[in-house]
Amino acid sequence: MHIPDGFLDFKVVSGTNLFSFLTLIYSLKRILKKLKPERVPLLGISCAFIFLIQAISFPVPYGTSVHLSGIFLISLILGPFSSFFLSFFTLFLSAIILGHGGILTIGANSFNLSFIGGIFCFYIYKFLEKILPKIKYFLIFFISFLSIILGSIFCTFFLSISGKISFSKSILPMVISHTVAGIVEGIFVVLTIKFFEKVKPEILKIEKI
Amino acid sequence: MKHHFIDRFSYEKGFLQNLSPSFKFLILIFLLIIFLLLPKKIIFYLPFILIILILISISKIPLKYFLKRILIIFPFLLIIFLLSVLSNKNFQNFLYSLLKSILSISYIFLFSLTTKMEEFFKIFENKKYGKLIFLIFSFLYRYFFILYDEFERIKRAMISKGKNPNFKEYTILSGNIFVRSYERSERVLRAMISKGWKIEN
Amino acid sequence: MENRKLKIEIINLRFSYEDRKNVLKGINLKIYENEIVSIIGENGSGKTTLLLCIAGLLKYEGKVLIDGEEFSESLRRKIGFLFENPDDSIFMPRVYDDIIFGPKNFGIKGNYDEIVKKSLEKVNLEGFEERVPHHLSYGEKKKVALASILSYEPEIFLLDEPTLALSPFARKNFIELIKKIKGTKVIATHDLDLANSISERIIVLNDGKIEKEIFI
Repeated sequence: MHIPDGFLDFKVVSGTNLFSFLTLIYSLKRILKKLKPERVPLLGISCAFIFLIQAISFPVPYGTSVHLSGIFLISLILGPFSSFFLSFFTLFLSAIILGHGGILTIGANSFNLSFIGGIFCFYIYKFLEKILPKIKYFLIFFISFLSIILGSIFCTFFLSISGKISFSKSILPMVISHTVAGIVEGIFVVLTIKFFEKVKPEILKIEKI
Repeated sequence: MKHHFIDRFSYEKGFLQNLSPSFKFLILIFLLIIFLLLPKKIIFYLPFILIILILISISKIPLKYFLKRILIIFPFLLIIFLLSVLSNKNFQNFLYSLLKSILSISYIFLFSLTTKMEEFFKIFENKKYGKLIFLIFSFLYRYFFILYDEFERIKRAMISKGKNPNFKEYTILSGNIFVRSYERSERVLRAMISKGWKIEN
Repeated sequence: MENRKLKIEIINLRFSYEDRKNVLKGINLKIYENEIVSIIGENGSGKTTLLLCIAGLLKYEGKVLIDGEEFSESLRRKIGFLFENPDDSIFMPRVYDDIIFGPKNFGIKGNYDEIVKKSLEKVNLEGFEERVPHHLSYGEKKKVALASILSYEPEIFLLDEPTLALSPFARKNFIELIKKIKGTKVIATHDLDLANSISERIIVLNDGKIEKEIFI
């Protein structure tokens, strides 16, 4: 969930923004260190892709539709720091242009979505993939699912320490309501990876930064 | 197909449109921080409400359209409202957050509606990581619409063959879009290089 | 021609896009069963838009009657739309999947392997079942796109710029394929040679209106 401005207090805003901007600078450093020409348009167009994925509502069986994040997927393709940077960028533009999320809350939102989904979950996945290679697809599903759930947990956390909601009373409804989105995200990422394996495997061999 | 939701009014000749993007952005951040710190007394908020109404009119933005755009945050507001009720939180608490939220987003929209985004990102061009940021933004701006249109065209082809796309088709659709994006980025690179672009960041 | 059944009837068709108004300004047209009609005109004259309206893929004003009926989802089966860009119409991981996509959706019974095989034979691409559409050459993609609509045997074929960007040899081949198709054919093109050689009637579209009708 993208937290809009006005719902986080000063300490959360400062803390999360500090963390996220430091992570952003580090990510940019990593990206620029080994930046090859081919990567620049790829990063740009992938950014358009993330924006597109987040803008479209995916129809889901039994009614409604969900919005996907795509951040973990992009980290599997382009790497954790590229994913963080691109999704941070997308968050900023979403806030400014669409009013989706906020500007001062970008620290918290990028923590929940870009850091958790793009960096944290990436490394968890890479670790698990090494020790349990046979269940790769299940791991991809599970980690994608986890990225959404963890994101919602931290979202609840930030809102609660800002005094807007009670953590204990809100955590269950938040997690439950994100379960469908998490499952859908998981299936989406697995199917997409399989699609790439079939149609354009070199996408999965791109250098991951 | 064009999608005129971005800097729709940035080409009009209004007050805000004439100010420099970096100036406007700094003021915006400054204001957002003020809203963050504003005490819970309604009197502090009134001047800002008045100011924005004035700014909207001298920047030639239709009020109705503006209000319609603000509605986008309502789903989130609803969720947080429900959670705050569940948490037995003081309604006043929520109300002031709501007010801060609406004020913040109003000024944010005022900024984006009256600023040409390309000019905004040009600000970064001379900063340390700026060239990359500017390039990424340019790509995003140009290719988002292209990808969106491609998405819609493939969807239309699916419909013409009798399938109203469901989750599975959407996944295939988006997979296709990425693969094409990947290949497109190779073509774009060639075009850039043929026009002398070098990676000198 | 008048003793042929009226297949498509277009009555006062008007259409505007959000960013382009009045692309079609009141089209009246009758197309008969098994007729081959070409629609020619400049870029922006409304050719593609006209085809999209006939196919029920756009929300238009006016009437389009197929076999006397107004558009409904059940009519989709009768219409095969060949999009200008083959990339728009082929999107599955294998050629097989793209070709069987239509028949599956329309609930066509039969041996799927046979259906795909026959469709590929019709476009001279035998054995292409397991190929990845995305990796094919432009000409091959066009043929797969055609096969993917032949597979559900529609009665009406709407072809948008079928010979666009095809090399001379590929173009000749593709025209032969089009000639072999059985059904009512409406072709939007600015390949005047194609229009001349293949049609019974040429409609000239200009600025959203029918300017001229030429009988071949």
